[in-house]
Amino acid sequence: MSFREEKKSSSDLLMKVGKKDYATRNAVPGIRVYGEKLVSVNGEEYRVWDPHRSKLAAGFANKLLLSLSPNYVVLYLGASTGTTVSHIADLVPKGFVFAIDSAPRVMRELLQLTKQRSNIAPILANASHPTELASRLSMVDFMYQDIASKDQVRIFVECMKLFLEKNGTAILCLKARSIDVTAKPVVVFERAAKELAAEVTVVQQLLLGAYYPDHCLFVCKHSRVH
Amino acid sequence: MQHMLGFSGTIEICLRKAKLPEYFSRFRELNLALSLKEFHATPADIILVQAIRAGEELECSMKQLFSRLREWYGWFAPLDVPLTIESLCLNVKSAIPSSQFAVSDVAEMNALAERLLNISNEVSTHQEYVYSRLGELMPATVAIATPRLAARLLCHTGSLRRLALMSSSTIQLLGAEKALFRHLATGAKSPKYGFLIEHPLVQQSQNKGREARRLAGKIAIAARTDFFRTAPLVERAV
Repeated sequence: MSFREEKKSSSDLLMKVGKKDYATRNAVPGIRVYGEKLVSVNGEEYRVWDPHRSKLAAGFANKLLLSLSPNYVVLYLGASTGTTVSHIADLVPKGFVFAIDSAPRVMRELLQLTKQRSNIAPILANASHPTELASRLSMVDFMYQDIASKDQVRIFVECMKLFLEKNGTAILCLKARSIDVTAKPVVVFERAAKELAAEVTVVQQLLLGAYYPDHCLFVCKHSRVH
Repeated sequence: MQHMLGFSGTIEICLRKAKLPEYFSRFRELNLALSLKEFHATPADIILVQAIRAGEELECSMKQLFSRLREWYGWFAPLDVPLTIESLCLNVKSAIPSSQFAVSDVAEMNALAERLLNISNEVSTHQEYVYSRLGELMPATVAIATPRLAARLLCHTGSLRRLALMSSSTIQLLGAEKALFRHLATGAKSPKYGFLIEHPLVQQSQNKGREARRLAGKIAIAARTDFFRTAPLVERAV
Protein backbone atom coordinates (compact mmCIF):
# COMPACT_ATOMS: atom_id res chain seq x y z
CA MET A 1 0.00 0.00 0.00
CA SER A 2 1.53 3.29 -1.08
CA PHE A 3 1.62 6.20 1.28
CA ARG A 4 -0.96 8.13 -0.69
CA GLU A 5 -3.42 5.25 -0.78
CA GLU A 6 -3.01 4.69 2.90
CA LYS A 7 -3.65 8.34 3.61
CA LYS A 8 -6.73 8.35 1.45
CA SER A 9 -8.29 5.33 3.07
CA SER A 10 -7.59 6.56 6.58
CA SER A 11 -9.19 9.92 5.80
CA ASP A 12 -12.18 7.97 4.56
CA LEU A 13 -12.57 6.41 7.95
CA LEU A 14 -12.53 9.72 9.79
CA MET A 15 -14.82 12.40 8.36
CA LYS A 16 -15.58 15.91 9.32
CA VAL A 17 -19.29 16.41 9.68
CA GLY A 18 -20.58 19.87 10.43
CA LYS A 19 -18.30 22.60 11.65
CA LYS A 20 -16.20 20.96 14.32
CA ASP A 21 -17.53 17.45 14.80
CA TYR A 22 -15.87 14.37 13.47
CA ALA A 23 -17.40 11.01 12.66
CA THR A 24 -15.95 7.55 12.08
CA ARG A 25 -17.16 5.03 9.56
CA ASN A 26 -19.32 2.54 11.42
CA ALA A 27 -17.72 -0.90 11.31
CA VAL A 28 -21.06 -2.43 12.32
CA PRO A 29 -23.63 -0.47 10.30
CA GLY A 30 -26.95 0.19 11.95
CA ILE A 31 -25.65 -0.28 15.50
CA ARG A 32 -25.12 2.52 17.97
CA VAL A 33 -22.66 2.03 20.81
CA TYR A 34 -23.64 4.75 23.28
CA GLY A 35 -26.58 6.54 21.68
CA GLU A 36 -24.46 8.60 19.29
CA LYS A 37 -25.87 10.08 16.09
CA LEU A 38 -25.60 8.07 12.89
CA VAL A 39 -25.11 10.02 9.66
CA SER A 40 -24.79 8.91 6.08
CA VAL A 41 -21.93 10.29 3.95
CA ASN A 42 -21.49 9.12 0.34
CA GLY A 43 -23.70 6.14 1.00
CA GLU A 44 -21.63 4.99 3.99
CA GLU A 45 -22.79 5.11 7.58
CA TYR A 46 -20.76 7.21 10.02
CA ARG A 47 -20.96 7.49 13.80
CA VAL A 48 -20.64 11.03 15.10
CA TRP A 49 -17.82 11.32 17.60
CA ASP A 50 -19.01 13.55 20.40
CA PRO A 51 -16.17 15.74 21.75
CA HIS A 52 -18.07 16.10 25.01
CA ARG A 53 -17.95 12.36 25.60
CA SER A 54 -14.51 11.46 24.33
CA LYS A 55 -11.29 13.27 25.08
CA LEU A 56 -9.70 12.05 21.88
CA ALA A 57 -12.58 13.59 19.89
CA ALA A 58 -12.10 16.79 21.87
CA GLY A 59 -8.45 16.56 20.88
CA PHE A 60 -9.34 16.37 17.18
CA ALA A 61 -11.62 19.37 17.65
CA ASN A 62 -8.60 21.19 19.12
CA LYS A 63 -6.19 20.47 16.25
CA LEU A 64 -4.61 17.27 17.45
CA LEU A 65 -1.88 16.05 15.10
CA LEU A 66 -2.62 12.37 14.71
CA SER A 67 -3.44 10.03 11.89
CA LEU A 68 -4.07 6.34 12.34
CA SER A 69 -3.47 3.83 9.57
CA PRO A 70 -6.24 1.25 9.13
CA ASN A 71 -3.83 -1.56 10.01
CA TYR A 72 -2.55 -0.09 13.25
CA VAL A 73 -2.44 -2.15 16.40
CA VAL A 74 -3.61 -0.05 19.34
CA LEU A 75 -3.21 -0.29 23.09
CA TYR A 76 -5.91 1.55 25.01
CA LEU A 77 -5.38 1.96 28.76
CA GLY A 78 -8.46 3.00 30.71
CA ALA A 79 -11.03 1.76 28.22
CA SER A 80 -13.99 2.25 30.56
CA THR A 81 -17.30 1.49 28.82
CA GLY A 82 -15.70 1.68 25.41
CA THR A 83 -17.01 4.97 24.04
CA THR A 84 -13.67 6.06 22.63
CA VAL A 85 -12.55 2.48 22.05
CA SER A 86 -15.42 1.93 19.62
CA HIS A 87 -14.33 4.90 17.50
CA ILE A 88 -10.70 3.84 17.51
CA ALA A 89 -11.81 0.35 16.47
CA ASP A 90 -13.68 2.00 13.59
CA LEU A 91 -10.46 3.74 12.57
CA VAL A 92 -8.38 0.55 12.45
CA PRO A 93 -10.60 -1.96 10.59
CA LYS A 94 -7.56 -3.95 9.50
CA GLY A 95 -5.78 -3.53 12.79
CA PHE A 96 -6.53 -4.42 16.37
CA VAL A 97 -7.31 -2.77 19.71
CA PHE A 98 -6.25 -4.02 23.13
CA ALA A 99 -8.65 -2.37 25.58
CA ILE A 100 -7.61 -2.44 29.22
CA ASP A 101 -9.62 -1.44 32.26
CA SER A 102 -9.42 -2.45 35.89
CA ALA A 103 -13.09 -2.08 36.88
CA PRO A 104 -15.35 -5.14 36.45
CA ARG A 105 -18.48 -3.00 36.34
CA VAL A 106 -17.52 -1.05 33.21
CA MET A 107 -15.99 -4.18 31.69
CA ARG A 108 -19.55 -5.41 31.18
CA GLU A 109 -20.22 -2.81 28.52
CA LEU A 110 -16.83 -3.41 27.00
CA LEU A 111 -17.57 -7.13 26.68
CA GLN A 112 -20.76 -6.25 24.85
CA LEU A 113 -18.75 -4.09 22.47
CA THR A 114 -16.30 -6.91 21.89
CA LYS A 115 -19.15 -9.17 20.89
CA GLN A 116 -20.06 -6.76 18.08
CA ARG A 117 -16.56 -6.00 16.86
CA SER A 118 -13.95 -8.58 16.07
CA ASN A 119 -10.95 -6.26 16.34
CA ILE A 120 -11.11 -5.59 20.08
CA ALA A 121 -9.64 -7.64 22.91
CA PRO A 122 -11.01 -6.74 26.36
CA ILE A 123 -8.51 -6.98 29.18
CA LEU A 124 -9.78 -6.77 32.75
CA ALA A 125 -6.58 -5.96 34.59
CA ASN A 126 -4.87 -3.28 36.58
CA ALA A 127 -2.44 -1.34 34.42
CA SER A 128 -0.30 -0.07 37.28
CA HIS A 129 2.11 -2.98 36.85
CA PRO A 130 2.61 -3.08 33.07
CA THR A 131 4.98 -6.03 33.09
CA GLU A 132 2.14 -8.24 34.30
CA LEU A 133 0.25 -7.44 31.11
CA ALA A 134 3.06 -8.58 28.83
CA SER A 135 1.67 -12.06 28.25
CA ARG A 136 -1.65 -10.67 27.05
CA LEU A 137 -0.49 -8.07 24.51
CA SER A 138 1.51 -7.75 21.34
CA MET A 139 3.61 -4.76 20.35
CA VAL A 140 1.46 -1.82 19.24
CA ASP A 141 1.72 1.08 16.81
CA PHE A 142 -0.41 3.47 18.79
CA MET A 143 -1.02 3.80 22.49
CA TYR A 144 -3.64 5.87 24.26
CA GLN A 145 -3.92 6.28 27.99
CA ASP A 146 -6.77 7.84 29.89
CA ILE A 147 -6.70 6.64 33.47
CA ALA A 148 -7.37 8.64 36.59
CA SER A 149 -4.42 7.55 38.64
CA LYS A 150 -1.91 9.51 40.63
CA ASP A 151 1.06 7.86 38.93
CA GLN A 152 -0.38 7.86 35.43
CA VAL A 153 2.76 9.42 33.98
CA ARG A 154 4.93 6.58 35.28
CA ILE A 155 2.51 3.96 33.97
CA PHE A 156 2.44 5.71 30.61
CA VAL A 157 6.20 5.77 30.22
CA GLU A 158 6.57 2.16 31.35
CA CYS A 159 3.91 0.96 28.93
CA MET A 160 5.44 2.95 26.10
CA LYS A 161 8.81 1.33 26.69
CA LEU A 162 7.34 -2.13 26.94
CA PHE A 163 4.70 -2.21 24.24
CA LEU A 164 5.15 0.63 21.73
CA GLU A 165 6.90 -0.07 18.43
CA LYS A 166 9.98 1.97 17.57
CA ASN A 167 8.20 4.60 15.51
CA GLY A 168 4.83 4.36 17.19
CA THR A 169 2.87 7.22 18.68
CA ALA A 170 1.46 7.45 22.18
CA ILE A 171 -1.03 9.86 23.68
CA LEU A 172 -1.32 10.55 27.38
CA CYS A 173 -4.53 12.15 28.54
CA LEU A 174 -3.75 13.87 31.79
CA LYS A 175 -6.37 14.94 34.29
CA ALA A 176 -4.78 17.53 36.54
CA ARG A 177 -7.35 16.94 39.29
CA SER A 178 -6.48 13.31 39.71
CA ILE A 179 -2.78 14.01 40.14
CA ASP A 180 -3.05 16.89 42.59
CA VAL A 181 -6.37 18.54 43.46
CA THR A 182 -4.75 21.38 45.31
CA ALA A 183 -2.20 22.48 42.69
CA LYS A 184 -3.07 24.66 39.73
CA PRO A 185 -3.61 22.56 36.58
CA VAL A 186 -0.96 24.52 34.66
CA VAL A 187 1.63 23.61 37.26
CA VAL A 188 0.63 19.94 37.14
CA PHE A 189 0.92 19.94 33.33
CA GLU A 190 4.33 21.56 33.49
CA ARG A 191 5.55 19.00 35.98
CA ALA A 192 4.19 16.14 33.87
CA ALA A 193 5.75 17.57 30.71
CA LYS A 194 9.12 17.67 32.44
CA GLU A 195 8.70 14.14 33.73
CA LEU A 196 7.80 12.94 30.24
CA ALA A 197 10.59 14.85 28.50
CA ALA A 198 13.14 13.05 30.65
CA GLU A 199 12.12 9.71 29.14
CA VAL A 200 10.41 10.32 25.79
CA THR A 201 9.89 13.03 23.17
CA VAL A 202 6.79 15.13 23.51
CA VAL A 203 5.62 16.02 20.01
CA GLN A 204 2.54 17.99 20.89
CA GLN A 205 0.88 19.19 24.04
CA LEU A 206 -2.63 20.51 23.85
CA LEU A 207 -5.38 21.59 26.19
CA LEU A 208 -8.87 20.38 25.55
CA GLY A 209 -10.46 23.76 26.15
CA ALA A 210 -14.06 23.99 27.22
CA TYR A 211 -14.81 20.33 26.45
CA TYR A 212 -12.65 19.09 29.27
CA PRO A 213 -11.34 21.77 31.61
CA ASP A 214 -8.13 20.82 33.44
CA HIS A 215 -7.31 18.08 30.94
CA CYS A 216 -4.29 18.01 28.69
CA LEU A 217 -3.17 15.68 25.90
CA PHE A 218 0.50 14.84 25.37
CA VAL A 219 1.43 13.28 22.05
CA CYS A 220 4.68 11.38 22.50
CA LYS A 221 7.21 9.38 20.53
CA HIS A 222 10.23 7.36 21.56
CA SER A 223 13.34 9.46 21.92
CA ARG A 224 15.96 8.75 19.27
CA VAL A 225 18.98 7.03 20.71
CA HIS A 226 22.17 8.60 19.39
CA MET B 1 2.95 -16.09 25.44
CA GLN B 2 3.97 -18.22 22.49
CA HIS B 3 2.97 -21.25 24.45
CA MET B 4 -0.39 -19.78 25.36
CA LEU B 5 -1.20 -18.82 21.80
CA GLY B 6 -0.08 -22.14 20.47
CA PHE B 7 2.46 -20.75 18.02
CA SER B 8 6.13 -21.59 17.98
CA GLY B 9 8.69 -18.80 18.08
CA THR B 10 9.47 -18.07 14.43
CA ILE B 11 5.90 -18.44 13.26
CA GLU B 12 4.81 -16.08 15.99
CA ILE B 13 7.18 -13.38 14.80
CA CYS B 14 6.16 -13.84 11.16
CA LEU B 15 2.48 -13.60 12.03
CA ARG B 16 3.10 -10.49 14.05
CA LYS B 17 5.08 -8.85 11.28
CA ALA B 18 2.37 -9.66 8.77
CA LYS B 19 -0.33 -8.61 11.23
CA LEU B 20 -2.46 -11.50 10.14
CA PRO B 21 -6.02 -11.56 11.47
CA GLU B 22 -5.38 -15.07 12.76
CA TYR B 23 -2.70 -13.77 15.09
CA PHE B 24 -5.01 -11.20 16.65
CA SER B 25 -8.10 -13.36 16.82
CA ARG B 26 -6.13 -15.63 19.12
CA PHE B 27 -5.30 -12.64 21.31
CA ARG B 28 -8.97 -11.78 21.34
CA GLU B 29 -10.06 -15.23 22.43
CA LEU B 30 -7.37 -15.53 25.06
CA ASN B 31 -8.08 -12.11 26.57
CA LEU B 32 -11.83 -12.56 26.42
CA ALA B 33 -11.54 -15.82 28.32
CA LEU B 34 -9.15 -14.38 30.91
CA SER B 35 -11.27 -11.25 31.40
CA LEU B 36 -14.43 -13.27 31.85
CA LYS B 37 -12.68 -15.48 34.37
CA GLU B 38 -11.52 -12.42 36.29
CA PHE B 39 -14.99 -10.92 36.01
CA HIS B 40 -16.63 -13.98 37.49
CA ALA B 41 -14.09 -14.00 40.31
CA THR B 42 -15.71 -10.86 41.75
CA PRO B 43 -16.20 -11.48 45.51
CA ALA B 44 -19.71 -12.27 46.75
CA ASP B 45 -19.80 -9.23 49.05
CA ILE B 46 -19.55 -6.85 46.10
CA ILE B 47 -22.48 -8.54 44.42
CA LEU B 48 -24.48 -8.61 47.66
CA VAL B 49 -24.41 -4.81 47.59
CA GLN B 50 -26.91 -4.99 44.72
CA ALA B 51 -29.29 -7.04 46.85
CA ILE B 52 -28.95 -4.59 49.75
CA ARG B 53 -29.71 -1.66 47.48
CA ALA B 54 -32.69 -3.52 46.00
CA GLY B 55 -33.95 -4.06 49.56
CA GLU B 56 -33.64 -0.35 50.34
CA GLU B 57 -35.52 0.52 47.16
CA LEU B 58 -38.26 -2.00 47.92
CA GLU B 59 -38.67 -0.57 51.40
CA CYS B 60 -38.83 2.92 49.98
CA SER B 61 -41.55 2.03 47.49
CA MET B 62 -43.44 0.20 50.21
CA LYS B 63 -43.50 3.29 52.42
CA GLN B 64 -44.45 5.56 49.55
CA LEU B 65 -47.32 3.37 48.37
CA PHE B 66 -48.52 2.91 51.95
CA SER B 67 -48.79 6.63 52.57
CA ARG B 68 -50.47 7.12 49.20
CA LEU B 69 -53.03 4.42 49.94
CA ARG B 70 -53.71 5.96 53.36
CA GLU B 71 -54.32 9.31 51.68
CA TRP B 72 -56.63 7.74 49.14
CA TYR B 73 -58.56 5.64 51.64
CA GLY B 74 -58.84 8.70 53.89
CA TRP B 75 -61.29 10.22 51.44
CA PHE B 76 -63.38 7.09 51.68
CA ALA B 77 -63.47 6.61 55.45
CA PRO B 78 -62.07 9.71 57.17
CA LEU B 79 -62.84 8.49 60.68
CA ASP B 80 -61.06 5.15 60.48
CA VAL B 81 -57.67 5.14 58.71
CA PRO B 82 -55.44 2.36 60.12
CA LEU B 83 -51.75 2.93 60.86
CA THR B 84 -50.35 -0.42 59.74
CA ILE B 85 -50.11 -1.84 56.25
CA GLU B 86 -51.97 -5.06 57.09
CA SER B 87 -54.99 -3.46 58.74
CA LEU B 88 -55.17 -0.72 56.12
CA CYS B 89 -55.21 -3.30 53.33
CA LEU B 90 -57.84 -5.29 55.23
CA ASN B 91 -60.05 -2.21 55.54
CA VAL B 92 -59.60 -1.32 51.89
CA LYS B 93 -60.64 -4.80 50.86
CA SER B 94 -63.86 -4.66 52.86
CA ALA B 95 -64.76 -1.22 51.52
CA ILE B 96 -68.24 -0.96 50.03
CA PRO B 97 -68.89 1.27 47.01
CA SER B 98 -70.95 4.37 47.72
CA SER B 99 -72.43 7.28 45.80
CA GLN B 100 -69.04 9.01 45.95
CA PHE B 101 -66.96 5.90 45.25
CA ALA B 102 -68.00 3.81 42.23
CA VAL B 103 -67.34 0.09 41.93
CA SER B 104 -64.37 0.75 39.63
CA ASP B 105 -62.86 3.20 42.15
CA VAL B 106 -62.98 0.65 44.95
CA ALA B 107 -61.69 -2.10 42.67
CA GLU B 108 -58.67 0.00 41.75
CA MET B 109 -58.00 0.82 45.39
CA ASN B 110 -58.22 -2.90 46.14
CA ALA B 111 -55.69 -3.69 43.42
CA LEU B 112 -53.24 -1.23 44.94
CA ALA B 113 -53.76 -2.73 48.38
CA GLU B 114 -53.04 -6.18 46.97
CA ARG B 115 -49.82 -4.96 45.38
CA LEU B 116 -48.79 -3.21 48.58
CA LEU B 117 -49.24 -6.42 50.56
CA ASN B 118 -47.11 -8.29 48.04
CA ILE B 119 -44.36 -5.70 48.27
CA SER B 120 -44.45 -5.74 52.05
CA ASN B 121 -44.07 -9.55 52.01
CA GLU B 122 -41.24 -9.22 49.50
CA VAL B 123 -39.52 -6.70 51.76
CA SER B 124 -39.42 -9.13 54.68
CA THR B 125 -38.34 -12.20 52.68
CA HIS B 126 -35.72 -10.10 50.90
CA GLN B 127 -34.45 -8.85 54.23
CA GLU B 128 -34.19 -12.40 55.55
CA TYR B 129 -32.16 -13.37 52.50
CA VAL B 130 -29.82 -10.38 52.83
CA TYR B 131 -29.29 -10.93 56.56
CA SER B 132 -28.51 -14.62 56.13
CA ARG B 133 -26.02 -13.90 53.33
CA LEU B 134 -24.45 -11.18 55.45
CA GLY B 135 -24.18 -13.67 58.30
CA GLU B 136 -22.19 -16.00 56.04
CA LEU B 137 -19.93 -13.33 54.56
CA MET B 138 -19.23 -11.17 57.60
CA PRO B 139 -20.41 -12.96 60.74
CA ALA B 140 -18.26 -10.98 63.18
CA THR B 141 -19.34 -7.61 61.84
CA VAL B 142 -22.99 -8.64 61.92
CA ALA B 143 -22.65 -9.82 65.51
CA ILE B 144 -21.15 -6.53 66.64
CA ALA B 145 -23.00 -4.07 64.47
CA THR B 146 -26.44 -5.71 63.96
CA PRO B 147 -27.36 -6.98 60.48
CA ARG B 148 -29.06 -3.75 59.48
CA LEU B 149 -26.06 -1.57 60.26
CA ALA B 150 -23.66 -4.09 58.71
CA ALA B 151 -25.70 -3.94 55.50
CA ARG B 152 -25.59 -0.15 55.54
CA LEU B 153 -21.83 -0.07 56.03
CA LEU B 154 -21.16 -2.65 53.32
CA CYS B 155 -23.46 -0.84 50.92
CA HIS B 156 -21.81 2.50 51.62
CA THR B 157 -18.23 1.30 51.26
CA GLY B 158 -18.95 -0.99 48.29
CA SER B 159 -16.95 -4.01 49.44
CA LEU B 160 -15.84 -5.86 52.54
CA ARG B 161 -12.25 -5.27 51.47
CA ARG B 162 -12.66 -1.52 51.58
CA LEU B 163 -14.48 -1.65 54.91
CA ALA B 164 -11.80 -3.88 56.40
CA LEU B 165 -9.00 -1.56 55.33
CA MET B 166 -10.67 1.51 56.81
CA SER B 167 -9.50 3.10 60.01
CA SER B 168 -12.01 3.04 62.83
CA SER B 169 -12.25 6.82 62.79
CA THR B 170 -13.41 6.65 59.18
CA ILE B 171 -15.98 3.99 60.05
CA GLN B 172 -17.22 6.17 62.90
CA LEU B 173 -18.11 8.94 60.45
CA LEU B 174 -19.43 6.88 57.53
CA GLY B 175 -22.69 8.46 56.51
CA ALA B 176 -21.75 11.82 58.04
CA GLU B 177 -19.59 12.98 55.14
CA LYS B 178 -21.56 16.13 54.54
CA ALA B 179 -21.21 17.25 58.14
CA LEU B 180 -17.54 16.27 58.18
CA PHE B 181 -16.66 18.33 55.13
CA ARG B 182 -18.72 21.24 56.39
CA HIS B 183 -16.72 20.99 59.60
CA LEU B 184 -13.42 20.95 57.70
CA ALA B 185 -14.43 23.76 55.38
CA THR B 186 -16.19 26.16 57.72
CA GLY B 187 -15.13 25.07 61.18
CA ALA B 188 -18.67 24.08 62.13
CA LYS B 189 -19.17 21.48 64.88
CA SER B 190 -17.57 18.15 64.01
CA PRO B 191 -19.85 15.12 63.56
CA LYS B 192 -19.55 12.34 66.15
CA TYR B 193 -21.31 9.54 64.30
CA GLY B 194 -22.92 8.68 60.98
CA PHE B 195 -24.75 5.43 60.35
CA LEU B 196 -23.57 4.25 63.77
CA ILE B 197 -26.40 6.20 65.40
CA GLU B 198 -28.65 3.32 64.26
CA HIS B 199 -26.97 0.99 66.73
CA PRO B 200 -28.91 0.47 69.98
CA LEU B 201 -25.76 0.94 72.09
CA VAL B 202 -25.19 4.40 70.62
CA GLN B 203 -28.84 5.33 70.76
CA GLN B 204 -29.21 4.43 74.42
CA SER B 205 -25.95 5.97 75.51
CA GLN B 206 -25.76 9.24 77.44
CA ASN B 207 -22.53 10.06 75.63
CA LYS B 208 -23.27 9.11 72.03
CA GLY B 209 -19.96 10.33 70.62
CA ARG B 210 -17.90 8.23 72.98
CA GLU B 211 -20.07 5.16 72.40
CA ALA B 212 -19.84 5.63 68.60
CA ARG B 213 -16.05 5.84 68.80
CA ARG B 214 -15.88 2.65 70.87
CA LEU B 215 -18.27 0.84 68.57
CA ALA B 216 -16.37 1.96 65.45
CA GLY B 217 -13.19 0.45 66.89
CA LYS B 218 -14.90 -2.88 67.48
CA ILE B 219 -16.50 -2.86 64.02
CA ALA B 220 -13.11 -2.20 62.43
CA ILE B 221 -11.66 -5.23 64.21
CA ALA B 222 -14.67 -7.37 63.29
CA ALA B 223 -14.53 -6.37 59.62
CA ARG B 224 -10.86 -7.29 59.47
CA THR B 225 -11.52 -10.65 61.10
CA ASP B 226 -14.19 -11.31 58.51
CA PHE B 227 -12.11 -10.18 55.59
CA PHE B 228 -8.90 -12.01 56.44
CA ARG B 229 -10.66 -15.10 57.72
CA THR B 230 -11.01 -16.86 54.37
CA ALA B 231 -7.64 -16.42 52.65
CA PRO B 232 -3.99 -15.92 53.55
CA LEU B 233 -3.37 -12.38 54.69
CA VAL B 234 -0.86 -11.36 52.06
CA GLU B 235 -2.85 -12.69 49.15
CA ARG B 236 -5.97 -10.72 49.90
CA ALA B 237 -4.42 -7.46 51.04
CA VAL B 238 -2.46 -6.62 47.91
